[in-house]
Amino acid sequence: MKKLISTLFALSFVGAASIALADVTANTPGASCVAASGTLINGTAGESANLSTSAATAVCPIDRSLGTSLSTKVSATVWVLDENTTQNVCCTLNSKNPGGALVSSPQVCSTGSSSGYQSIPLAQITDGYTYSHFYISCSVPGTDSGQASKILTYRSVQN
Amino acid sequence: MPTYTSTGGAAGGANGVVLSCPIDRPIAPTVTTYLSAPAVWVIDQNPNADVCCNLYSTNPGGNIVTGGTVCSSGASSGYQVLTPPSVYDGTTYSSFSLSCTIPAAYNGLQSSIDGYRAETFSR
Repeated sequence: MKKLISTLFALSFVGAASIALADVTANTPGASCVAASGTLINGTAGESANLSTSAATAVCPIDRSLGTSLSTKVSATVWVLDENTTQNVCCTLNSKNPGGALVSSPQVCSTGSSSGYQSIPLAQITDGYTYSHFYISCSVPGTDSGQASKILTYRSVQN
Repeated sequence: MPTYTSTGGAAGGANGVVLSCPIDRPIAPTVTTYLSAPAVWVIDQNPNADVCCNLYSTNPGGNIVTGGTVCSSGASSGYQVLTPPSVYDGTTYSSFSLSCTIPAAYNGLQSSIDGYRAETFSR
C-alpha cells in the first residue's frame, strides 16, 4: 500500500509538472490603476495621471492565472512619466493573501525628472497560496511646475 | 468622475465624462497586435449629445494609434451597440484601451456604458 501511495504521489507530481504554466505576459494600461490615497485621473489614451500637487498611491491590479494552470511567480515592468524634480515614482510588486500575508518585491524608483518615459523593473516574487492576488503599488508624486507624473503602462509576466 | 451603477455600468453623471476603459493586451506566449471591440453596449438618453467611443493603442514613448470615432444616435432608454474601428500596433510596449465620451444626464436620465467586448489577436 505504501508503495502504491508513493507511486500515485509521484505520478501526480509528474502530472503537475507537465502542465506547468508557460509565461503569460500582458500589457495593461495605467488606467487600470486606482488611487488608494490621493487622486488619479485617467487620460483618453489609457494613462493614469496625478494632476494634484499632493502625492498619490496607485494600486494596479494584475489578473492572476488560476485556471488550468496556477501561476505562483510574477514579475513586472512599469512605464512611468516622472515630471517631479524632487520626488520619484516608486513601485513595488506584491502578492496579498486574505489571511494577511504579504509578499513584496524590493521597491524601485524612477530617477530625476523627464518628459520621456522611464521603465521601472520589478523583481519576481513567489507566492504559492491560491487565495493570494497580485498587484503593483506605486507612489506618484504631485505636479511640479504644472507638469504631471503618470503611470503609462505596466507589463506582468506570470508563470 | 463617472458614476458607477449597481449593475457594473459607468454613467456620465451630472456633467458628463470621458472614460478610459482598460483592455489587457496579451504579449506572451503570443504577441497580439490587433485590437477590436465588436461591441460596446451603451445607453444614450441625452437628445443633445451622443456616447462616442474609439480604440487606442498607446506607447510609453508617446506614439498613439487610434481608430475612428463612432457614436450612438438619438436618445433612448434601450441599449445601442457601437463597434469602433480596430487598431493595429506592432510595438510590444504599447497597451490597449477604449475611450468613450459619455454625455451628462438629461432631465435626470443617465447615459452610460453598460459593457464592452474586446478581442486582441495577431495577424
